[in-house]
Amino acid sequence: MSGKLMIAGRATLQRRSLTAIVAVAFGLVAVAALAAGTQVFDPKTRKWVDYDRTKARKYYAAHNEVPEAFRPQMVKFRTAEVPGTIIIDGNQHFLYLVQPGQRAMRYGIGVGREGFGWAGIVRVGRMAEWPTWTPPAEMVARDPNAVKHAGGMPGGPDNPLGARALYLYERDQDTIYRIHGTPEPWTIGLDVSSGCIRMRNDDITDLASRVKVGAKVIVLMQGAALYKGV
Amino acid sequence: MSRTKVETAPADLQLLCANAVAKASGVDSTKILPVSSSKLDSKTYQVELDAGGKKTSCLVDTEGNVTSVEPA
Repeated sequence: MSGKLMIAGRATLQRRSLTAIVAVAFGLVAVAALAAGTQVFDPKTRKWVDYDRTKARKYYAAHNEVPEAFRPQMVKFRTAEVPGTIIIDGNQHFLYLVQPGQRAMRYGIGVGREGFGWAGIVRVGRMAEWPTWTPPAEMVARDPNAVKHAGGMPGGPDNPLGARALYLYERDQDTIYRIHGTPEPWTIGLDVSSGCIRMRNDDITDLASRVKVGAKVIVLMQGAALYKGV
Repeated sequence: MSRTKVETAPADLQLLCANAVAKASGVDSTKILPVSSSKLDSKTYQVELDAGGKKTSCLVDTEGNVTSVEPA
């Protein structure tokens, strides 16, 4: 382990009153509360400890890097999905890009906080470099910090969408969810977003260079109550 | 090396189940999504799927062999 923290995601219950109806429609029984968040293994104490926002920020400050498990790496991935498909494991905080030969490039991600997670099958509708961020009306309504950017925040290092954005579409309709970069790389591995998938800027730039518009995106999130595209 | 406190099946095994359900049921694979999973023993995961509105249960081993697909 050589002083490096190991990561463990924990399943997250995602509830959303608006989407409860959708869950019923799917015949799903709401899953009892599953522990949220991520755990890391501290080799010094040999104990698994909660990896919350405060600890993640301290780790990043000390190492100028996310824990090793969240850095890009090629892994074995047995699948019938074609190369170029994106598969997101929201519980484990991993994004896989399917490669030839039953392998995948794996990246660490941050996902929706409790109540903002979702699952489904969508596609990459379009991509943008250093995109403008325009908060959705509902975010403007609930988040005072978003109000000043209601008209759109130009792309740049402080922009919440970071270096690239992959806009996720359900058929020809924008889902409002994106896979994007972030100016807060220490949040990788956490449940922090409003439903978007966030990656380190270097990682989203690498992913965008490997992905084509139209690519299938499968989002797995155990306990999610909102489903897209299925 | 990683673990989950509430252990879910690896993403690739969940999707192997989805593929098996598509073949067994004839439901379009774009309408099949794993919705929950758990580890039954050291070599077996159970994956629950929504297949076009029908709940289906699948067993898959750690080698990627789907051993069972049946209505939940």
